[in-house]
Amino acid sequence: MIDFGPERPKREYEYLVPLINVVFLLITFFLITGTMQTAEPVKVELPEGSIDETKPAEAVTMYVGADGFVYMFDQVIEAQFAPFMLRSFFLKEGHRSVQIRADRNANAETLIDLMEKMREIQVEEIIILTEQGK
Amino acid sequence: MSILDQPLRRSRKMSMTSMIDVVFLLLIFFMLINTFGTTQVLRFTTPAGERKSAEKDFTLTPVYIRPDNSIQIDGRTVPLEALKAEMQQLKLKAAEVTLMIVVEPGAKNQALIYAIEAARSSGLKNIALKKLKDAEAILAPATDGGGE
Repeated sequence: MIDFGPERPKREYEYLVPLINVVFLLITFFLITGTMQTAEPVKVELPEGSIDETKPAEAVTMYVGADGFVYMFDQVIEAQFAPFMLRSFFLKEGHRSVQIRADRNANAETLIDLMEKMREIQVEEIIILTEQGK
Repeated sequence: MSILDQPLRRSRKMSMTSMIDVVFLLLIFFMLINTFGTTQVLRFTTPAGERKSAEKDFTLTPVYIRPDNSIQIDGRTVPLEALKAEMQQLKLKAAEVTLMIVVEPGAKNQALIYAIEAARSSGLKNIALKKLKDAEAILAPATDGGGE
């Protein structure tokens, strides 16, 4: 029979330092890899996509719900009026980029209308957000 | 007896339980509020104005997104997997090819994104997005209708 020597005395309490190390590592991981979720005015299911380009630093966010309404600056408006609101906003702000979070089931015509109107008010860049395909 | 003469009192071991509680709370907080990099970006630069000059070898090719969200090129319904290859073929038609993505009433956003992404990945530079009635006005002089 193998002799493993005398049994080590048991600690009075569990040694917690490795646990804390692991938990801190997990927190660091979540801090670095994640991005904070912003409160969304409407539940939007983004369309699936495969292209991912670099995100601009500043852009106004516009939500297009599946019902076709546009949610912007805590207001719900019809798609045709949204660019007019943007126009007054751009007069105050320097940047002219708009990012659109449009629902995958929203009418594509609404999106095209929006983009056309934004071109008219001289929006320089339109960013459409998609979701990584499964 | 001065304070310096008093024997040093060894501090009792600190309880780590409260710290672990806080750390676990932080962990749960970050796990719940974080979203991971699943959102992607598709950028469009809006055209500066009307085109001043055109290549002699120029074509305007319409791609139709039907109300049932199928995509039609030259009257044929093209499956999503073949869309990129089909658009690469379109690109070879002329020195300058402008793809006009025509959205029919009732078509959904997802189909539009598939068409835009296929056009982008096939290397087409000029992409126009139009509603059916606007597209018909542009295409009418050139062709006798498109995907109908």
